[in-house]
Amino acid sequence: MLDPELVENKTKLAILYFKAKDYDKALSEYTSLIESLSSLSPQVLKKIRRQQYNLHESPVIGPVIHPRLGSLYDQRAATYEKLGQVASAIKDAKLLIKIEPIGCKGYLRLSKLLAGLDKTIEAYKCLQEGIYIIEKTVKQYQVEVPEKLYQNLKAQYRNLNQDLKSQKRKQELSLRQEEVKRFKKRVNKNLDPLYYFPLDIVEIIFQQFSLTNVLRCHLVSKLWYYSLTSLPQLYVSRVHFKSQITLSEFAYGVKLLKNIVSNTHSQLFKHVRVNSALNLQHLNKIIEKLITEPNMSIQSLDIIDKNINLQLLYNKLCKAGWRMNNFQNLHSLRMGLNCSIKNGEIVLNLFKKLKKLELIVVFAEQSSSYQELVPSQDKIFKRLKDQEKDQYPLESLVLVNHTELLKGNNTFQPSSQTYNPYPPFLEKNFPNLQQLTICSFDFGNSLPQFGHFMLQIPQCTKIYLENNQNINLLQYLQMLKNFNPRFILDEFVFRESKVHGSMTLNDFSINDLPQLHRLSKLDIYGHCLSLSGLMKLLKITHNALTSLSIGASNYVSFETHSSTTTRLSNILKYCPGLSSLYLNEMGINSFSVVQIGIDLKSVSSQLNYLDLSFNPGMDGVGLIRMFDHLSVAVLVMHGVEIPEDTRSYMIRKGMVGRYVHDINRVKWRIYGVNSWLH
Amino acid sequence: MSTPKVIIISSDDEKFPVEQKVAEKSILIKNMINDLNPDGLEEDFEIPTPNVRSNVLSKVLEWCEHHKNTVFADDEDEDVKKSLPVEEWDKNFLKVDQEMLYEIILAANYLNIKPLLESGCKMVAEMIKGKSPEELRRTFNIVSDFSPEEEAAIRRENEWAEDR
Repeated sequence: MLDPELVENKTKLAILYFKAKDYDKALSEYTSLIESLSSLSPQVLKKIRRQQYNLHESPVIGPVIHPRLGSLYDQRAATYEKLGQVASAIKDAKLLIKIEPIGCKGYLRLSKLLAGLDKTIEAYKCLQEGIYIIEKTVKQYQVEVPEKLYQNLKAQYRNLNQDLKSQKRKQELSLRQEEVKRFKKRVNKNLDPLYYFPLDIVEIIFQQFSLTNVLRCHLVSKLWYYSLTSLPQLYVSRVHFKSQITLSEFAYGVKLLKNIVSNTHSQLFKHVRVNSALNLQHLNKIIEKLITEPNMSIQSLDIIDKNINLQLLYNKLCKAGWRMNNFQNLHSLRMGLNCSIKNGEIVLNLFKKLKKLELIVVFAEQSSSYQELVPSQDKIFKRLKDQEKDQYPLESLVLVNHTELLKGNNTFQPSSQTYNPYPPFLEKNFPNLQQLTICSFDFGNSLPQFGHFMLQIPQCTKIYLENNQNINLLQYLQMLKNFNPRFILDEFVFRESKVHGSMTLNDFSINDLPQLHRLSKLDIYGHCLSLSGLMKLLKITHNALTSLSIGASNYVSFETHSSTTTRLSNILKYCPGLSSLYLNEMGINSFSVVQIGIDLKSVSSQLNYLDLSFNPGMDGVGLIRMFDHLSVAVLVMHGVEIPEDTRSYMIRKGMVGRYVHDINRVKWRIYGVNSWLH
Repeated sequence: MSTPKVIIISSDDEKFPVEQKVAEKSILIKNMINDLNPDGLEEDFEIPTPNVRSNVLSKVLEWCEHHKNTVFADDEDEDVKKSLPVEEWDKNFLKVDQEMLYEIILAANYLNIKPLLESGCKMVAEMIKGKSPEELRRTFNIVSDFSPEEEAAIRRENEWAEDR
């Protein structure tokens, strides 16, 4: 029986020869060792395994061998390789796999040798087989394999997989280019633009085409098909799936697109939009595909469906083992969902790079109980839910609730388990936030929290608050005063949900709000300010305004006989740089319109956009008189009937550059939440 | 001495003397002038354009002459620019036969005159836009080389998109 110490020493000697690059001597040492260890009878081997190495008499899989024999074959294979005897090396590696089917070394050695011979596919298959056998054995017999080697094996496998894929891609690409060339040769003199122009010019020609238009052009000829599909920029920034889509249509789209992007470096889909699936079943499958489809990295995702909600998204992600590959680069997420919007904070924890988040409740109903969808027992879900970060990188936040869910309009009352009427995220910290939009929520008990929230968004330049309950303009301005947030706004929109009673701003004890000093756009459609209040507010804006909307005002109007008749010049003197003015629904009639014209002329010379929609008292004669010595680039007159002759006369005379007009357009109050669905 | 001119020479050796300002509508020429005359032009400067025929070059220079004082917007608003229609003057200017239009586009590309390149490409786009594959084949004299099966496969592949 061989002494274990002797075996170890002889092995060490062989390794020393190997390291000293004396491969011939190393080879003869290995060979003599292998011969003597192989010549032992199974009975002896079993004894050695048990007594000297403290192992089972026979391994769970494979023949009974000396425990050191495997390593010796491996090392001899390496020695053969060094000596240039690759065939012998391969023979040893194959033998090694045979005697140690769950040792990783054999597969690693053999694949390395094969890869060295440029037999990449065979090397890949060898690793694949190894992983398969080892995984199966580990599962079946609960044996352990050396972790490091096994990880190495898997890593090699992944690398080769990548290599093969990129090779294949390159081949496909060069094939595609070959095709294009071949087609070009076939025709000699030809005014087919895709034949005539190089691809970079073809790209410029097609870049302004709609997506369906580009796709339709695929059908012209093979040259067109192959040329267009080798220009990924024509597709990736506007992947808009059609509404009511089925899984199979979706899958065809994904397949085509992946083929198109396969030759780009980043393989990134810049913008993907899923606009409703045929039904819940298809939606489920489509979301699963979005999550699990390999190599479909998405930068901006739009998804709208009456069945979708946050819980469904979490459920699908959980089922896929929280696979986030496709969303690692997600910068923008826009969801048009039903009213299950709880646990929104998880979105922030999931999509770490998110800069833009829009949650729009498009459907005021739940189609089934979504509470069941929440993977509340899942460990990762719990962690995501409890995770509280100091700050999030969000730059734009849009939260739009459905108008029907506001109190008083509740034809349907969703369960408090999945829905609450208060604006979410107000306890979060968004130091980079630049835009904030909150519509149709109830600020009932959130006002102090909202005040603190504003302190956390010093970069904010645009605030849009519309149709919210339990917060009015005066309250909001008072909050700006009290909390004194550091942001300086460029755009401020505050559209009140209902009449609150006249606010004069007189009880509003300050004359200054630094947040509004540089305001360029102010929209207070439907406001309840009195004329003096309005002027006080405009004064705060320090002459910086370029766009002003005071439409549908409750107490300021241009009806001649009204007691509150207003001179526009009083308003305009605080905004000399105005270029856009909206005077919707302000009772302007054929008399007051003339005065408005005079005032506009005297004060604001830069005006080029004027919106006088929904002032039904106006007529063509008044309008022409108004534009005597006045001209604007765009005049908007929705919901007002002005004869065609008058309109064309005004354009001919240069009073108006463009006339925008839709007699059937509905007013904003009715239009409401739909305006967020574009 | 009068102001030095830039003399652009076509592939068929015709010489076109133009003001520096006009020639510099071409970024290629502008860079060449600046690189080779770091102290400014002191005498007439000849530039050959070996792949532009004289009748195409004369059209291109007519465009440069007309636009010598036009300030073109920067690249920032790419999306806006893409969707803008072709300016009226350019549109009339580019109402030429198809081959001439194509050659002007190639020349604008080579000489790096972006606004002309874009106007030209938009004119070609107008010929393509909104047409069915059949109409397109007729317009450009193309014979379909798809088998019915291939065509059906492409149609299926296309059925997922919508425009918004």
